[in-house]
Amino acid sequence: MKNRKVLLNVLLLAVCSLLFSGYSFAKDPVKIGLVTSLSGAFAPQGEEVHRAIQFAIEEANNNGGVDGRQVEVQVADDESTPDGARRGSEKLARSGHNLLIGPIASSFSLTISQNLDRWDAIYFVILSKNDKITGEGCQPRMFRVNPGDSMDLTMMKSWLESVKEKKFSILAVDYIWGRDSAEFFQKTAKELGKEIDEVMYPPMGTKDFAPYISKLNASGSDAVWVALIGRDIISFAKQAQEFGLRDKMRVIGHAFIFNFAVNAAPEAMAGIWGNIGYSASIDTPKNKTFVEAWKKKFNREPTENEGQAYNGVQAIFSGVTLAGSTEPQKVADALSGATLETIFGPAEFRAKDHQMLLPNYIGQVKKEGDSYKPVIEKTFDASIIPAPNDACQM
Amino acid sequence: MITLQLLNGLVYGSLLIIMASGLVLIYGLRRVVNFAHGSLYMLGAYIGYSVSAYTNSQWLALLVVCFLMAIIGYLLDKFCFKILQDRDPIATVLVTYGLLLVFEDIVQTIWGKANYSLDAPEILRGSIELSGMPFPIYRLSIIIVGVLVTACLFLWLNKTRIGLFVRAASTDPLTTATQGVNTDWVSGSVVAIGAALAGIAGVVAAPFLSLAPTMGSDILVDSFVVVVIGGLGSFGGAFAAAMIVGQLQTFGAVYAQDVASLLPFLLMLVVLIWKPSGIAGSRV
Repeated sequence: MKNRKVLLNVLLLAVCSLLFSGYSFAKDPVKIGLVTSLSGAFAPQGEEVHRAIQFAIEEANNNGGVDGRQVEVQVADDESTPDGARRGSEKLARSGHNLLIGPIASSFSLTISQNLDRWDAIYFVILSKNDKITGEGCQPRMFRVNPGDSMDLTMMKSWLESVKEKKFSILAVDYIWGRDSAEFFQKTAKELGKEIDEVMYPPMGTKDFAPYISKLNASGSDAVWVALIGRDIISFAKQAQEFGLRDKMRVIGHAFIFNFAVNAAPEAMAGIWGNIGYSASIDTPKNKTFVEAWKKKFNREPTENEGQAYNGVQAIFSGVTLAGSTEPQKVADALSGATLETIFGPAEFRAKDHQMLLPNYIGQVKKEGDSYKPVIEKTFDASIIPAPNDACQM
Repeated sequence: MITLQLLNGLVYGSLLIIMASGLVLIYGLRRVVNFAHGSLYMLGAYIGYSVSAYTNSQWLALLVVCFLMAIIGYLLDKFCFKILQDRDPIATVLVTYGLLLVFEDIVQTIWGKANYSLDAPEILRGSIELSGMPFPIYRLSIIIVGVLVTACLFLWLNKTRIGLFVRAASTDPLTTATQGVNTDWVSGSVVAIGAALAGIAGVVAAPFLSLAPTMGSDILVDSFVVVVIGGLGSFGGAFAAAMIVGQLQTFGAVYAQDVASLLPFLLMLVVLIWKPSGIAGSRV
């Protein structure tokens, strides 16, 4: 009798622990694969991405998880190379962390996107701008949360109509993205009746911009369109300041006025205009909450890259919640065509090409308070975003 | 315009000669192809940044960098190059390249991944008018530093007793040692000077570049092109090559931009085919 009672107690305990453990692991965790540049040329941007994604995950877990699930993350360093991005993504995806996010350059994103079906993964683009991502290289399991080149350039075109400068020069990195940007700008300027003067393509990693800047100074242009990447942005801004280029012409940057460059060379970046992908000053309830929480933790405002990376993770969370699943295909099906509440306000993932339709911004680097930062001067509504590219066949 | 571009070429050439002269000296004495030289340049720039931020004096930063880099150079020679000098060249390349990566990681651990920039000294800011165009005073001062470094090294090598030992040791270290010259001490001094020069190049370049852990490997390629064109171990050859490469890069960027980045490599190829020992052979 006594033995039966003990057995009953043990059974009761076992049932209870099974019930409770069953409760806490009722749903599979959200497994994020964060692949970004922790070393190499893009390491400063990679560090921003890493910080923002870890912040978003910690925040979600502190608030009870996503769709009743814990969020887990594994990190891989892409070493600032496309092959590193492919290797890192494959390793993470095959270990079950198949909700991928984090790479910076477009070539990295395009390399990853070709393998998503094979790895059974889904990939969220947060910083890569090339139009191929939502054009001929689009994939049913790839979603972009940042504005692409054509979105930036369409906005720039609207803005340039109101700009008084007539004669432009172009300085764009000798790389597919820089060449595309220069080509688009030439076409746009001609359509707007502006004149194009010097067109120069310095190689990636140029250390001395003096020959190019001397040529610009001698050109008599009213403004220069600059499309550079990584550290070249800082080197150019500092050398342009040395040669007094900004006294001679307006400098307009394409994907140029980033916080990492402004923090490194604030006075050299001051007065440079360009597109802004995200700013802490965006006036939406979600962004205010995000900025407040961020300031509480880091004692400063989030940067442009951090804001966009945060937005990317939120898109993953929304996808999991909408799908009620962490399976990449189900998440993709749920997000395609869905409208999400984002830090930019309500934004749709266009079903045709999986581009998030966001407002876009133009501004300049200014001193506000004690520090220099990119400040939004004009906001452009999502309605100006060009139609999807027919080359995208999902 | 052409005058300005000539000056731009001279500026970059001067930076390259400060950098490459260290490489040449080290190879001349130790026969070590020092891939870690780029990291000494990078380390110099970072130390210069920190000292300048702390003391608000770029001049003091330059002095501290010279001193610290010379110590690092001496230690490198004592614990690395001396051991490597008789080894297979591939072992030297692997070890010095490994050192480059280690230094990059150390810098990343201490200073983080963010980019930094160093301001030029107050007295050298601003620009002067040349051919109706502004030209930064700081860049003119780089040419002066380049000329000073070259002149000092030339005098040191040709007019001093230790310079004589250096030249003798680079030609025949064994015979030099049998004459009572402490060749290890001579080599240690030369590597210390080479490392200090790399540090100076880092501090000099920092005001117009952004500081990043990979900046050393970026300039290393151009420096090796200069050393190979000039002749491994030849100081005069490296000087001529640095000036030629500086002008090639500048005028290439202006007049032949599609092939500008190829020009120094094309020149290197031609020199290697025409005279594999470089413009001036291998004597220091």
